[in-house]
Amino acid sequence: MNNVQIVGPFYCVICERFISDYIEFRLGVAMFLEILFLGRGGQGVVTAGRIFAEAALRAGLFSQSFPEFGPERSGAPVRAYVRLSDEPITMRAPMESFDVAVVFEERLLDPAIVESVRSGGIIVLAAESSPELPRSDVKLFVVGARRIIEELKKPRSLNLAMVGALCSVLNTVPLKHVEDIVGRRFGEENREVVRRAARLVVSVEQTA
Amino acid sequence: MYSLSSYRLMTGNEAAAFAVKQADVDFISAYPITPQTIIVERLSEYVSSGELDAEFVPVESEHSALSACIGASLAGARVFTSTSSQGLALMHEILYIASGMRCPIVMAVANRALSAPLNIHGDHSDIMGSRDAGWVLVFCENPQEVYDYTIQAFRLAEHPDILLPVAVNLDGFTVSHSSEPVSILEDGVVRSYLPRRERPRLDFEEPASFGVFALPTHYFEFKVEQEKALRRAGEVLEEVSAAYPNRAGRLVKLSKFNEDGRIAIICLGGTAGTVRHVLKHYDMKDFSLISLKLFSPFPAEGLLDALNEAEGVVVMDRATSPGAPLPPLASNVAASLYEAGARLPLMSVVYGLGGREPTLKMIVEMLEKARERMIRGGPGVSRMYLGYGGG
Repeated sequence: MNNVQIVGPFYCVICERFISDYIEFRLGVAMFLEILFLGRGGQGVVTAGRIFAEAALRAGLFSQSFPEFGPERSGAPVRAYVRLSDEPITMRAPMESFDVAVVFEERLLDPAIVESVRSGGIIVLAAESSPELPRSDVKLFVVGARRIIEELKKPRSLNLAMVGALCSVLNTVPLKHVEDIVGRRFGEENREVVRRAARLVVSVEQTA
Repeated sequence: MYSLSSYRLMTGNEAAAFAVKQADVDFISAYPITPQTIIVERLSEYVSSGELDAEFVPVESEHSALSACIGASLAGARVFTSTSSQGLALMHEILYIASGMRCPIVMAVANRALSAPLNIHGDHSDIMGSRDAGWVLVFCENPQEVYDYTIQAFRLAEHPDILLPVAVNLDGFTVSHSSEPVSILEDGVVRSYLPRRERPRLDFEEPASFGVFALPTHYFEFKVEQEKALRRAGEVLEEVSAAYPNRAGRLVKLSKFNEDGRIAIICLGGTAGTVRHVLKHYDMKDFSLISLKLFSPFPAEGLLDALNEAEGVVVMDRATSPGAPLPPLASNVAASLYEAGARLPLMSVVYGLGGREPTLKMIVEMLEKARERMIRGGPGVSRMYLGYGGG
């Protein structure tokens, strides 16, 4: 299903072997992952990051989640950041490049964002169609998040769908933790938003 | 290995508010200001929901907030307030009154730059502008420390040999708004760590005067006694932190990382975490990190012990002292070294003004520059603005 060309393999200094998949490498022995959430003011971008960080904490991982500092405007692009590790995270430097970018809208996926994803990294995009990426060393996953929230009549739950999709793609934080946090905080009926997005997110083949 | 089951994800601000709730304060008065606002918001929610049985007094300014806190503190209440930047500057007059009247108030300061130009982001200019106000000044690296140190601040402030206000500093945004795992204690454990102690207070049965007029015959003695109490806080802190139930969270004067490094990096607050990350992951064995948790009273003795093997020091200040020979932290370090007769090469680094958070690359650049200067230059002071874009 996934014919993405991966730049690598990646040498892991800890396990002293080559690992072909970059994300597996970052998630595995070297466990350090930097994630961008990009959406618009009002879509719950910061909340999405926080839910994922909280779910990761429940899964026994150290996490750090923080917004783009400063003023926020409704409708303007908004960023949130998450770091995951299996050891305490002490650094609080700004994040400039990412292992994973979760993008809430196709129009927000501009060339600078595509460029900021590290080679071998992942983009999870809310879109109804599958855009061509200008890079072949990044894996693209697409989820029809808008359709999901419309069908489930949860117009304000785009962020929850994106967390569900991310969770499914990374497959390192159990979806159940995300569901539980979402169910408790945003109502039980939102569990289905998370579940459906996790089920419907698909990998897109890049021909470039 | 760490067990994360008892951890909650909290921002620095949330950790401060949660600690204050568990400390069972009687009185809160504060005025909202970015990036501290969430502390006051959470506390007002705790009070309105009945989770915290305290008097919450909204006021029209920070000047009034601290004034109200002084009144409540003198009546015997356990008191908390919180502010940032311009709010702290507006309190400036009252800061000296709180310490001069020996009020054990605890205040969280989410450090932020001062105007002008207007800037809401993090640096230490606000608290450094008030560093001579006679408060105990504590700095936190992360939300966990905000939680632990806020609780210990109450016990330190209320200690009968101290009776001074304590400011718990957390970097605006980078710590105040960053959500991280925080290990919390049971309510009952915090309660028994913070028993209420008798102290001089306003009382109709046993009248006493506070805030008296002191002529030249007495004022000097008042101020020196106050300074002695502040110095005692260094010793009392050891007793206060030794009793803190979570051993890992004890408020130490400083923590050291990479003991064997020849060049010591001295730093306050959240940036110490970034330096720690760089030293660890970039295998910088030449350098040690000293993260100062206590700025006032300045732990000169502990610092000199920590610098025993050092061949050079890099002092990182997130504030400037325009016109002074050195910025605040570097100045304190230099004075401590002088007192000990040590002539170590010192590199004074000013960084992060107005929220220009150091990147890993910037830290590496600083370390390389330090290495070069320490090898080449003998004793003496060199200066650097880290991440400064001007000419």
